Amino acid sequence: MTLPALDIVALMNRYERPLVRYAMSIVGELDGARDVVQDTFIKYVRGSSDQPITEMEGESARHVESWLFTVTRNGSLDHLRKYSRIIPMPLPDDRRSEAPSPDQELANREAADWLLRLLDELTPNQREVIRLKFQNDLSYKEIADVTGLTATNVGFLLHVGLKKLRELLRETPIDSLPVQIRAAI
Amino acid sequence: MNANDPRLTAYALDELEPRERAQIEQLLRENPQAAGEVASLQSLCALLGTTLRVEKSEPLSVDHREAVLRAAGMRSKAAGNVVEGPSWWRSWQFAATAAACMVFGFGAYAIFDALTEPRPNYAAAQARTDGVEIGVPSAESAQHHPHAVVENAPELQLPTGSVPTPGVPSQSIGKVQIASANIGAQLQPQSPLPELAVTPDPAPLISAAPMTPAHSTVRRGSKEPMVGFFRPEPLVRKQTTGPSYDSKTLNAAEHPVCAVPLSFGPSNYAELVRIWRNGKLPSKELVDIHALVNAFPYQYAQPVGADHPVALHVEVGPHPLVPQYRLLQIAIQARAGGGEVVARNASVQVEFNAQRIWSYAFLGSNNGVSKEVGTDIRAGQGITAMCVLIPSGSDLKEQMFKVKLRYSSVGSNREREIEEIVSKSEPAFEKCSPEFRWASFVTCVGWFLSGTGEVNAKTLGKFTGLVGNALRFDPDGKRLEFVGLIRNLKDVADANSGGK
Repeated sequence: MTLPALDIVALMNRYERPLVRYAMSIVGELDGARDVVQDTFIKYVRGSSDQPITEMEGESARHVESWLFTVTRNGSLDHLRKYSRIIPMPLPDDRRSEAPSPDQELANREAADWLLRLLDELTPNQREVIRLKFQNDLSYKEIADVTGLTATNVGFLLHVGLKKLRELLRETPIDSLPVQIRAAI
Repeated sequence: MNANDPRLTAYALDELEPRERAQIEQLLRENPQAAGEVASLQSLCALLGTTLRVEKSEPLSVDHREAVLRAAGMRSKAAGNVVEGPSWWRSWQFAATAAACMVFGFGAYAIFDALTEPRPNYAAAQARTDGVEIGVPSAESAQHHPHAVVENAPELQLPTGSVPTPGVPSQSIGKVQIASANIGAQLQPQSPLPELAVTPDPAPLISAAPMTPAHSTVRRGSKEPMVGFFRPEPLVRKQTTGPSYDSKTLNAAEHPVCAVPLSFGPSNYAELVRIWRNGKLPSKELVDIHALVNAFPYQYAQPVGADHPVALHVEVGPHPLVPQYRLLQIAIQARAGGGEVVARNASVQVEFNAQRIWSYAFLGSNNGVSKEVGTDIRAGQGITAMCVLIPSGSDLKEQMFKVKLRYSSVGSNREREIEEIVSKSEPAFEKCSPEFRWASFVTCVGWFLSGTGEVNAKTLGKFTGLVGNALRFDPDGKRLEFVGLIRNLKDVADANSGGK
């Protein structure tokens, strides 16, 4: 069976946002992230398996998911390398969080904002495995496939990253933390 | 083993093989410090699992999607477009594929056309002049809600009626929409085709609807209705086919008995969120606070014992806006099971004590004065109703009201009744249950979206404080998503107002 447009649309509907978000975390800007993800999908349709995404379940779907993230990651790194020659861009190590929310008071009460800001305090590889694990629900093995690390390394990075995150949270005055974070630490 | 052993994190994340997992569990039984470490990690992981997913994520642009579709189309054409499968699937798939290409292709063309010189293209011209948004109903909402949008392509603007597109056999927009819905794998091919309908453009963000003062004075002894609080000045909006809701405040002396609304319109939560994400406000007729409150799952206690298959929960707490008022939450929760009907012809009635309660208003309903229709309750089902109470100001300690849940047993048809008498109210949100707090928060958002109450985009954010620990129960992540949307709305509002 060939891949009808129907299935690629289903695939895009399902994965475009997680992939754009993941690419954004590497390339740092939306247009570039979209270019990368577009290329990922095009690579998929040009060399995809014959099974429609709508019929995929379990391992097959997970395989596609890993493949998409892997290609997006490679494309993002290529993009970063390519454009960093032309336009000086901060590397992930140096990249700081986005500007704070206009409404700082509200932002401080939202756990999502807090945690995302704190993530920037971690090393890029810790940040990446945490994003892949908790934003995209990938297993150690799948993260290893995407990043090229070993599963043991993934486990170590997650362990150290989580402990660091917890340390950062505990260093924050408890009264200033959102209630849902207080309960978690 | 010490706290720095990565296996503890792997255990917390359920990443260990069974044998290693058993070893860790044995160690945890012997080492309380390690057990505490794991519990702490699990708590953090649960927080991350629900929190990080709400980070803003963008879809591909129309151009990017089009480029992918072109690549897919070329391959499909080059391969001869061989389609296999059952006959119904073949026909469905063909129509869907053609429709998808047409929809997205047309969308891209319309945008391109808008950026270049006008061309004599009927469809594109209509798209711009009519400004009508065609939607794809989700599988859930399609049966009830005719208005929805093309998922992930909300920017598509299509005219009503058939779209003359070269190369595509004449089809109604309805079929196009159904095909697109199937693209999202939400409708099964054998699903009946829902009716197609059109919704007007949502109202621009931050309607300038003037609100009437919220702080009405409580006057004892008078039967004059407390008008004003729930009634904004009339808005001029486009004609819509959506339902109209108006929470009428009823005087408890005149209407001491009220039927609690158990039924509500189908959830259009996804549609509201989509409109919201696109920087607009839904037209207020689309907003049914009762349905919005019930769009979220709640963690009410299950019925105790085998006597009743349903439980009745009643809680009274503060009103988020007016200190003198109270919010009443009435919920029924059916025992979990296989989805079968566990209680027939259920109804809930409240008998108010006019000495304690001056007036009341059930939200998002015609307020119980209509004839009550019994509702069948299915296993696992939960229903929440919210009501504003305006106390009389009396210092009496006697009951405020009595709530009766009546239903017929399945099988025996025996009439059953659960009654609860309520005499007091929690004084502060901190004392209220998480489910009450969540429902109150959603109610505030509902007031804002429906243009009632004194909630605007500037003040909406502070009501996230109502949420408290209600995010601990969030099985599908919708609660956290909803809280995140509040911030999103605030940002868009700031942008629209030039940051003022």
